[in-house]
Amino acid sequence: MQYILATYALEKSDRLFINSMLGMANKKFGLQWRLDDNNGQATVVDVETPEGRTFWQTNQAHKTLIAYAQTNTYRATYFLEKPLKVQQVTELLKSLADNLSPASASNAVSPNASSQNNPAGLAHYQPNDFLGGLLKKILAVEQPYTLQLAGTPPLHVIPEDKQCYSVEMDLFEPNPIQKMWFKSPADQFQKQPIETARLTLIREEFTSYPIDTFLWLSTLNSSNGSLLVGHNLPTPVRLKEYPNFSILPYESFQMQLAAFMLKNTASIPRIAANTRQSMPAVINFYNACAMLELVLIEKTAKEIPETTKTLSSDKKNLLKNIFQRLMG
Amino acid sequence: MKEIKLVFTGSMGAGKTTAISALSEIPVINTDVNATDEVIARKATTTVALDYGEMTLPDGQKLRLYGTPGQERFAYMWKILMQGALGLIILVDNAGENPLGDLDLYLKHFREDIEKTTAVIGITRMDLANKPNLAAYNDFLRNKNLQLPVFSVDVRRKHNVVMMVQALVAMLEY
Amino acid sequence: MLSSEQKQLLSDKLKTLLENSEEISAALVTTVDGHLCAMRQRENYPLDRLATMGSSLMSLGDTITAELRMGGCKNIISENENGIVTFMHINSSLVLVTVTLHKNALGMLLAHSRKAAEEMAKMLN
Repeated sequence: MQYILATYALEKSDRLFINSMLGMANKKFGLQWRLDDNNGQATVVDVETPEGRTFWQTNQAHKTLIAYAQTNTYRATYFLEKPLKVQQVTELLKSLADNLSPASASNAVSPNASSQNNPAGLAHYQPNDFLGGLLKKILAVEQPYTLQLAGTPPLHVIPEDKQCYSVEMDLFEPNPIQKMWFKSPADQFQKQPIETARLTLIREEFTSYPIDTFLWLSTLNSSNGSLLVGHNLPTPVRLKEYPNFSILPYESFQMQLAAFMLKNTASIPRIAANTRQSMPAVINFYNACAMLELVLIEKTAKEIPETTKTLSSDKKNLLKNIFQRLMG
Repeated sequence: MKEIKLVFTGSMGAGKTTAISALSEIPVINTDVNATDEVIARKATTTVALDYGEMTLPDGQKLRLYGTPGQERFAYMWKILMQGALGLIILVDNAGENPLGDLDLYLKHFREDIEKTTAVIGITRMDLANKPNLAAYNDFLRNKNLQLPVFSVDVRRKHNVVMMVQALVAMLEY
Repeated sequence: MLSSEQKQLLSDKLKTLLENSEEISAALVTTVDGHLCAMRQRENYPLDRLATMGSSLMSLGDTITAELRMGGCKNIISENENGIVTFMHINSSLVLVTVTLHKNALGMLLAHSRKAAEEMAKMLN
């Protein structure tokens, strides 16, 4: 299987280094990578150059890009840290090969992206394949169930309470066992109805957590940058309300995404461009909001232009300082 | 140098002083006095001028945190304190007699300021009274043509107070 | 907090204050949390609002003197283009506010107000 890698705005020395790494990766993993700057299934972009940043903003919606920088400020799914190291390059190439479908030399993007509905190479996200889908089904039938995943504590779901009951834990910092809930396929869960007589006992013995917290975490952790089935990238959307982060574990950039999407109608690529976040990060967030029914789809609405609200640099610095201080 | 400040307002007993204490590097300066009216049944003291706390930002500037009195007869202090503020945090005690009415009062008084800057709403004591729920607050805001973050919060938890200020800052960015 | 008899007594005291000093235009007693208890005036002033604002100012004065470790706040004086307003504690729950339109009558205002405040405190005890 032939894979083609392109580069953009890289120093000549970096380009030569990557070219030599292709050979090592090919040998180690039995792959066939080659460099072709005119045409690539994936492109390494030096996002610390102005032209690299422009290329990133323009193309991240429909190409597989690898951010090359000192730090992953774009929160890119694929990232190469400066300076280049042999192991990280070869491992990235292996990971790319696992995710990309092989293409002809003239096809610079994955076939799926030609519909403009999805990032390159990735199918739509099916929540029914994961815990989120199970929870939605339980909510729909309004019957209590216990969900059991091997090696984890049972999860008792009581729709009338809108709560899940389980052992005491900190969902804002889930441990590896708890993370299994959010990443494991739905068919690995055993599902048992709860008898009415047991409900009181469960409520007394276990700690309750909002079902929304589980829906949120499940979707964020299992989306992997694939857009929710039935949703389209170019359709303008907005949030009808701000996510309640007091019960939804969040990263600080999600606060900003939420603020932007509450105040503006925009397509997902436009959201990513205007907030300078990576497409996969925006898509994961969007999916989680959609699962909580926070999203308004405004098919006929006009989306905001690419130019964002302009703050003075003093104000920008001030807000950045406040944010930094709060993180500390 | 222009003052950098955030203002905390909201119904009496909603937790304004506690919220500022959660963030402030200095002991909060307050102007609490003994309550003499029906308020005394809910709280022994009441703020009659302001609460004050501060945080130092990475570049050395001070972020000043002001709390207003909650009762409407002190509305002249609300106006004074909001001058030049970056934004507003409104705390509503969900265990109060009329939480939506309380919110309405603050939205009315601060509407102009909110439209010029922004606001975040924190609903406190939802563990003691779960109605109105957050959906009701969001509907209420929609009817007023306002899109603002609304959170259920426990202001004794620093993380919750930090979250509200983070949301405020994010709203100011966009 | 105060009975109607006590409020009447305070009102009478304020009447005496104004009778004893023609430079004083208005006087009121407010609770520390801004409720008007008694008032007398020669003109129409917004005494309700003055009561509330007086309580704010008095508590700020108390807070400042506490911060500076200067002991209790005896009074706060607002000297203005067209007159003077003074604020002082009667006791831990009540504040006396007095107003004069005479710019040079500060000494008189303070002296009469202090005397009235002391008498009211004794009376309420």
